[in-house]
Amino acid sequence: MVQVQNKITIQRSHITQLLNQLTVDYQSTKSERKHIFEHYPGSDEAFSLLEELELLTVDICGYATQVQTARPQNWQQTIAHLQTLRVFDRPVIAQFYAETPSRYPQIQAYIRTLDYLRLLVLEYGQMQPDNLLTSA
Amino acid sequence: MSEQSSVPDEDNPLFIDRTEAEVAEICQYLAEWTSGTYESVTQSVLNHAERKGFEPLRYLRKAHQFNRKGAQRIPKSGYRQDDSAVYRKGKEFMIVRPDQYGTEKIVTYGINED
Repeated sequence: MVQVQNKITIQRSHITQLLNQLTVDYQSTKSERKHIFEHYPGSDEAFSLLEELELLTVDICGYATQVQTARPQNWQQTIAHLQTLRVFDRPVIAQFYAETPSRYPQIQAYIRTLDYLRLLVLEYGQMQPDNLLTSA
Repeated sequence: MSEQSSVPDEDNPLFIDRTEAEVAEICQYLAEWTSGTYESVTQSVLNHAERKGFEPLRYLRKAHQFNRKGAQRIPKSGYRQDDSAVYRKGKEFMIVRPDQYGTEKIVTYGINED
């Protein structure tokens, strides 16, 4: 039990660091985002790349801030939702990532970090004692 | 204000060093937002403002001033499978989700230059 608690504490610290890193990384993507806005405006029927990325950022960072403040939450529901937020499941993001390997290095790194943060929060949820008991 | 009550919450970080008029203004704007996956609307706004490099009240004002009338909406009616819709106007955008009463609440607001 103590070992699980230690893992949870370390994981929370890691999530906090990554959340702060993502804020810094977002600001460093400014010039690339400006270029993407001009060249990938989106259609009349679908979210643009930047809109899709913004919504994922908000949804994932929301859960990450709850971990940061150690708020209790319904982990089963959170885990299920996080599994639907796979960054590379969004066609517009997957296509952009595959087609522009070197043109937008900051945004590419941001996309990877965001999905890594999602996975860390997901893993954190799976470590929760209540969740371990339920899934045992 | 605590988001469930009309009594201003002195511990709310958005209210630190604010005048009474500013607190009232912030309370009015917070009612336009949804907490989404955040613990509270306040946490959501603080996180957004920090990431986008805005002073929080300035960020709330900008979002409040965004005029959805005349903006392009995607989808044109209803919502996507994840219950979201986006309004676009020039370089500004606002993503919304309906609350349990069907009232659209702000999930995020941005300017494609920030």
